[in-house]
Amino acid sequence: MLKDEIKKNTRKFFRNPTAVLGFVLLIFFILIAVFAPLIAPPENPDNPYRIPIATWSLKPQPPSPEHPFGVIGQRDIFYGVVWGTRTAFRIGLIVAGISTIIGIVIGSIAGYFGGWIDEILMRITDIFMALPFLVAAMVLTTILGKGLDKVMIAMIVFGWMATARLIRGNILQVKEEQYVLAAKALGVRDSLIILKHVIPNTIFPVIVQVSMRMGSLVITAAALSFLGLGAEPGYADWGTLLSYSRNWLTEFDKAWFSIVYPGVAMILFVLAWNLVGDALRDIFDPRLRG
Amino acid sequence: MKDKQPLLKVKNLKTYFFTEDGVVKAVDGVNFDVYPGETLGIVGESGCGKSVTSLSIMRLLDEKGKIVDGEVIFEGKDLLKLSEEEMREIRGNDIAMIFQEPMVALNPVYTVGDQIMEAIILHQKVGKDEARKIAIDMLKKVGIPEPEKRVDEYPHELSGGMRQRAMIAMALSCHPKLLIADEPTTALDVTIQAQILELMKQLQRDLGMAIIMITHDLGVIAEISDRVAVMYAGKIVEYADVKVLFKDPKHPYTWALMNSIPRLDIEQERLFSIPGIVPDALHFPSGCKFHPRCEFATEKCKSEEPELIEVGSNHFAACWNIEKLEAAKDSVRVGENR
Amino acid sequence: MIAYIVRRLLLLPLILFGVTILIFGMLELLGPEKLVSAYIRGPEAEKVAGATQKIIEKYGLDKPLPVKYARWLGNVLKGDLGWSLVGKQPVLSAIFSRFPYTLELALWAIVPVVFVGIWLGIISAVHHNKFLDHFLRVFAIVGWSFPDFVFGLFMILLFYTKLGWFPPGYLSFDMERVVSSPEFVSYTKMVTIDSILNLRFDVFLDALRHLVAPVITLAYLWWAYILRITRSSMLEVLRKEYIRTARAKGLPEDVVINKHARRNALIPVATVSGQMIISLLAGTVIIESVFNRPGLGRFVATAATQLDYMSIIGGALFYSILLVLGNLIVDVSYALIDPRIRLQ
Repeated sequence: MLKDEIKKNTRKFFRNPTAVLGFVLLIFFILIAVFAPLIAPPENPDNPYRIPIATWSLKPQPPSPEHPFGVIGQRDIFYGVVWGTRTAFRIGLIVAGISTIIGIVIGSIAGYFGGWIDEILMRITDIFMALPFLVAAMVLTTILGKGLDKVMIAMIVFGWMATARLIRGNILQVKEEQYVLAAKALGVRDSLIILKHVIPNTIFPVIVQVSMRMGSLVITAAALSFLGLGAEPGYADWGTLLSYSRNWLTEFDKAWFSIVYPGVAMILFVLAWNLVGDALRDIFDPRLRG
Repeated sequence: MKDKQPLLKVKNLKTYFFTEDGVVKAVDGVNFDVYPGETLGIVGESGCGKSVTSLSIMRLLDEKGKIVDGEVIFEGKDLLKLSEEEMREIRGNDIAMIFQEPMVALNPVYTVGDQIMEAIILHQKVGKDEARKIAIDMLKKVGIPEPEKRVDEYPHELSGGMRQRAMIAMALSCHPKLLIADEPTTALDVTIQAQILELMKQLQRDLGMAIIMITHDLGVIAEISDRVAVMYAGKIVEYADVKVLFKDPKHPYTWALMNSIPRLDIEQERLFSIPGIVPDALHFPSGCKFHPRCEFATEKCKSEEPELIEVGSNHFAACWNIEKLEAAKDSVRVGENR
Repeated sequence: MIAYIVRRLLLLPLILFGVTILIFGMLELLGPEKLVSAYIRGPEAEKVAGATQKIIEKYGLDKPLPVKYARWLGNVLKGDLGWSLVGKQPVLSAIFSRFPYTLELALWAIVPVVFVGIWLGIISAVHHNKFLDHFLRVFAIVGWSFPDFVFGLFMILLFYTKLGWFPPGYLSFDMERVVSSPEFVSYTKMVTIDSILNLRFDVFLDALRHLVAPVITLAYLWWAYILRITRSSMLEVLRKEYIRTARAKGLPEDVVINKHARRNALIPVATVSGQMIISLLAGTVIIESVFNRPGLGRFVATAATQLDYMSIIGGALFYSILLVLGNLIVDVSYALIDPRIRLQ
């Protein structure tokens, strides 16, 4: 049964052209991330995320055979874009992964115990949601002392609420279902029932949520780097590369490549996750089927 | 009755749904007539195509459903050939419809009165005040107490029965010649069901409209219909006057349906139920579509589909084995008499 | 309905109280030394010798946490958010003096976002699975995938560098001089309004020229979002039985869609519109930085890079109060649209 369902959904997924495009893009980025050492061999294998200095001139250099994406802030953009893919995956997967786990734990506790525990946890969730995500991440990053690791911590601290609400809602819904009440009447333990029925009901919405959030997490991290709060200068990160362009705001004709290449990489990366997430949602959210 | 011109004549209607998984032949060659002032019951299990038939008449199918063949002649005009504009003139005005769930069939964000007045203003070309008067009048007619107050209430403020009354008021506000009622009592309590049916009968007498009553409930059919069409898997399998049908069903499916109603007049060891399930519309069986569930099925039933044939005066059935059914009925009668 | 509003109003101080604890907690993360220096960077430091000790005493920095929090909260309630290093003035005045610029930008963006977004969403739903729908869906998902600051940079590249139409910044140099001259009366601190009140249409047009690119940047992302929400909400509503009832009455399709479907479909859109307005305000943090416009957003961003802790804490507090109050207004108006909630 489950196998058939998976087979059917896989077929459905690959019949959707935008889903296929997203999937292909995602594979493409995974390949770049995996083969980064071959595509852009690092000068110093111990610290490959440091973009090597390409020139001592501070002026941007347009694309050339030697530096296919050009040079900005003395750094080779091609190298930064390639290794920046790894950075993007790292940020997205770590932040989405950890904050989702936190959200699952908090949401499960709230939904399972209900009553005043639920009330307290949900009010705490409300309080964390009362700060706009970008502002909250920015303030916490600054207070923790800047840097990519601080950005990730800040995004985890303010990134678990949506999952918690989703899980809690699902548990409350399952608790009301007839078959759960029936199982309860038969004396099956609560926790067992809920575990058994919540997991299949929740796992796909969570997967959809994670893939939809990957993009926005990478955008926020890049925005903080762009403002100068995230990765330090010279680090292989798309936001950092873009931040160099801020010095050339009125002379973009001399630095267009510093926007276009990392910018397009980011757009395609986010697009890939959003397309995959969108397709998954179409499949798993029966309300939108049709 | 037969010498009158039919108000509505449905000829060889075929409505198919083109889904991702294949073509669903929801209605596959249906014929029936409705005469002025009479009530035609269409009965069948869910998924037999009875609701799709009614939506096809109104041309209210969703985008996947297509009427692929047939004619729907209403007062001499083929509704399927009208422009959307002309069809709108007929909907709500000449043919009105009420639905199963009064809960979801009324728009939650507008008052009951607003929704009734809308049709009146549209079709009777009257002003707002006049329409409101008519609406209140209609609410009174369908037995809603304090209509002046109720007219300004929202659907969720009314009980289920009141909502269905309001739906009926809305449908009848323009005095349609034909009312299509799609399971109007299914969602209601039994006592309310009886009241609503009584109301419909009374309004039919007062206003002289014809009704197509769509239901899965033979009790409702017996209560209100003049003639009955029994549908199974997109086709009419039996078609007769209501008394004839109940007294002498000629199709094994009709017979089985009747045996599945609990009876109080005789002692039954257990309730008969039709074996098997309604076939999946994507994979209808070959031959007679009822044969996998039919106790009289023969080899012929598996390969050849029976046509509706006249089996009595104004009585039609589509079955190869009517004699076998008769024999079975005789043995049951013997059992009853013993 | 009344019970609902009362519950929301009772929760409001609770949430705000929680927010102050959260923000105070973040401030505490600085650790004792940085905290003292964050407080000390004010005019007091320059004037008085041994200011450190005074600061520690005044703010209770050597006291246990609850006392520290109580002192901090007391100051916040009095409007004392500390001294802004970047603004060279008290944080509260720094915020209030910059907020009108941000509000102006957000207001200009809201109108096209809401109206165009809803309109596109309805078109998309009505043409479900036809070409226009597919096109708008792609438009939406691409839009939603665009990082706002990257889009902004592209806008500058195209409209300023290539075409020279819409420059970054707030006003051109000449106009800035006009605005800061004594004859120009500043009524609202929002230049598009003030310029009209001063009958300086040249200033108005110049301000508009500088608004086009950031407004499009803010709007494009949200068009995508509103379009998606409206579309799926509309599709859901169009499948409802009451839509069939409306059609069965013989109503023309445009009445069915614009009257019966739209109002129901807009209920979920209304909730996200609230979040959207708040996010638009927060989104100006990065947009103002990209386009080099003055405003609260750029102030907070600059304060962050300069480690001006009091300013960012004040900014965070200000933004969260806006968000909480905004959500309250949205929830109440949501109840007003939907009679099922209104009358409960």
